[in-house]
Amino acid sequence: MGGESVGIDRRQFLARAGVLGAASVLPSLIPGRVAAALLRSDPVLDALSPVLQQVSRDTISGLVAFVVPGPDPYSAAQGVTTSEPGGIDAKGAEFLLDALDHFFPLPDEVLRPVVQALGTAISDTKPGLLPPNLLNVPLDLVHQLDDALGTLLRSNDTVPLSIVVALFLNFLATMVQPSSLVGPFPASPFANLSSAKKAEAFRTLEQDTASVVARVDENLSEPARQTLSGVLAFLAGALLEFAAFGSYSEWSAFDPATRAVNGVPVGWRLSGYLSETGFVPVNGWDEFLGYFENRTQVSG
Amino acid sequence: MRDVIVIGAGGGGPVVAKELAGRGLDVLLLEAGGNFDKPESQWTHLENDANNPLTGFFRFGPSDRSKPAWYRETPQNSFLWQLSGVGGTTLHYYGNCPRAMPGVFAGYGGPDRSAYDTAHLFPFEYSELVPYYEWVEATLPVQTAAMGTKEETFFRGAQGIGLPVNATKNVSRDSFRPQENAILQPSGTAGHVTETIANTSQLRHPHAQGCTFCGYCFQGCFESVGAPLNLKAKRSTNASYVPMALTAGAWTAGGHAVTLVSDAFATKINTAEESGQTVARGVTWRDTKTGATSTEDAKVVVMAAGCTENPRLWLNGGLPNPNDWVGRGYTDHFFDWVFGVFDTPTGSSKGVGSSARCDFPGQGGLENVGLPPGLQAFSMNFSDSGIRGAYTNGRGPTGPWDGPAGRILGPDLKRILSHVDQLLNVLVITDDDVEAQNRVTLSAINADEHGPVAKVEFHARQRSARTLRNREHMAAKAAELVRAAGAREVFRLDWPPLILHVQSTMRMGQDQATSVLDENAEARWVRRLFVADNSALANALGGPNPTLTSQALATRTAERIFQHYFGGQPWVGTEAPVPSTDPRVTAALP
Repeated sequence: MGGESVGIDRRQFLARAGVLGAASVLPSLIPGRVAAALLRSDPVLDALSPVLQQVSRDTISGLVAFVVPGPDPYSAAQGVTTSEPGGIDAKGAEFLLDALDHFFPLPDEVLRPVVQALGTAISDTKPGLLPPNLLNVPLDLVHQLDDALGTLLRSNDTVPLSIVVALFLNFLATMVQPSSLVGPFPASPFANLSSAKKAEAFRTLEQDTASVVARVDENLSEPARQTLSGVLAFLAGALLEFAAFGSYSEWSAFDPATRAVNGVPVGWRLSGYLSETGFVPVNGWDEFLGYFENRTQVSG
Repeated sequence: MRDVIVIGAGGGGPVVAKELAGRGLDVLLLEAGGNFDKPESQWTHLENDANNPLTGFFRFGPSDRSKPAWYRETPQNSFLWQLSGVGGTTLHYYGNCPRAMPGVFAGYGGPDRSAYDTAHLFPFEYSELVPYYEWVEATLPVQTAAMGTKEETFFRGAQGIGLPVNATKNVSRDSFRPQENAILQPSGTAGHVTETIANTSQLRHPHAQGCTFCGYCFQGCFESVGAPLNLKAKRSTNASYVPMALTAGAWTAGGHAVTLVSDAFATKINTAEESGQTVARGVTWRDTKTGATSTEDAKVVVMAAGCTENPRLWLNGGLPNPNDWVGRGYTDHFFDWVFGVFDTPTGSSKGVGSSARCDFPGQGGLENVGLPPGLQAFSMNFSDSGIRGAYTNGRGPTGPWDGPAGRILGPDLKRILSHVDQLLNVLVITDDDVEAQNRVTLSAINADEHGPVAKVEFHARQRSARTLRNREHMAAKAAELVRAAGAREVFRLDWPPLILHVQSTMRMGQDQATSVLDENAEARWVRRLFVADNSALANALGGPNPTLTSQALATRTAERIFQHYFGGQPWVGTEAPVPSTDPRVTAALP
């Protein structure tokens, strides 16, 4: 454990990842569990889990509200709301979290450069930007969180992809707007951004991929750098596409037991899909208009 | 010892299997995914349940959906749309069966002969493939598509930009037409009745036959309800060629039913050295449910695992690759997406996924596409031009569409997608060049239980000048068409590679230096090893959807195999094809 100056650097890192903010709003849960896990060498992920879940949930929710805004707090925080339901109401965040953590087949070998780079990143921000709630997190807890997160990121354990994505989006958020540490979502600088700044974060990710990669880790070898650039380019697109797909598909109302929908999926109502049948899928439509110029077959 | 082992039960493999089973050969057909022989109970009409690439029943992964999908490395903004299971990508296809452009074949002498990818022509003439087209068209069968509101809208636009109609199966000039597709035309109540899944009576077989206009081509066709498998409207191979392969003794004298093994992931093609030549001897595969490994020997091996998996299997098995063209030359029609917003209904989510097209020889084509809302939202957020109104990612082309191309999200997405049935989507299909840089290699960073995985590289912004020029031309034509059809607003997305029309990674060719297969689709460096799916195609066909041409070529390849290695005679042109809807097939289904 270092002194207070080291503590400020690491406090910056944890703050920008969203972890410090999450810990600041979950104080009673964390210190004992993290310290105990480190002492006993328990799986660090388990101990950090409440904090990281808060980070990933708020961050992914901020992403979903960006793609499909609604009347929810995440849309309000970005300054772009709509009166009718949006992606949050369509459980778009749950869709993405579930997909990222349970099904996205991105293997550890691909993620490891991202995760390891994150573990050694963030030393370029000037201290003094932290809001009071984060400055007031006790130094002992800062060190415990730092050790725990560092241990997790360096380990060979599988880190849920939603957490990697969330840490990364938060890192990007503080790049495009350092003051995003302050806002209604202490666990997610990204969720605190305006809609325009969220777009700026994605612009940075897509358009300045090389510089992002360099800032994540300037020591990466060239093949690893290309791999990381490729992964980030793919992820940037996939996050937006899947947020849209999940919000407009039947997922939020799907009952796996019956393989049918319970109620009307939000996206169906938003798009008027199946409105003619009361939102029930069909086995056919009265839609046959004949053949063009009445031609039912053509020659070879 | 089998006569023939076919790897992959997608669009091409079952064609070879069925044809050779019809000649009495002992054929083993392997499929990495599950079997889809009871679609009414196996599928739903729900797009996430069906098409989620991670969890859907139409994903690329083991049939046990609680297990993760199979990861493939795509080191760029792109989407690789593979599909495992009996039927392969014909399960989600729209059944479109246009023939290739004549100009992509050797010996073409038309005035536009320099307009094509002339460095990568098919090593034989178009006229040679025509009898095989006719054979497949009769087998599936292929018919002229029926029309719904979205087709009527599309045709209005095509006429509005001055295109003539093409009333033949062959393309000779810029023109539009209803699709020729492998979808049974509606009869009885089909197309005339709306019924929900909760209340279907008039739309059951046999009252309804053929296409019921349900709108779920991409989720898999099980219409009409109650119809036998080989009478389902859309002629995916699970409903056409595979049933024929499994009942070969019933519809042809001397036929020998194929053995189908699903959940069998081929991991190695076994070879031997004979007289200084490498010769295929059999196949090793892994049961994806039990993990058990099996090996069988065969006189001939046919690869039909797809454009991404064939090169992977080849390279993982250490087969020879002296010119380094295994996996190279990947073509994908470098799609783009243009759509219009209308004040009146277009029926976008109803009817066959795509029943109308335009052809532009030497440049590409256009086809309409109807989608349910989740996939529609996906299509509107897939772009290489950043986020509309925010940033362009260095592109953001402008043209006869409204504003710069780019993703549509936020309030714009909600506004524009507020009436999914007032949209008209046009898929922009580019006649794209075979280029060595677009390729499949083995991933250096990831392997799974079947070995190093495929890495698929596309260099979209560095495509050839002809490819890029064609794409811009076709995108402009799409926007003009949609506008002429009456759209109030028109948008272009500038898609990154959507790797879905896939061709030519194991290409046959005239030039030994840039091809893997000879003119018979036999591997140049491994005797008794053939390729019979889209990867065998010499090029991107000039833009037409590839399945029909692959199936025609696979039929020709089956004949070559029978002639060269089993002492048989050809049959196409001398015999009459049996349609897959034949009552003898129906009666013999398990």
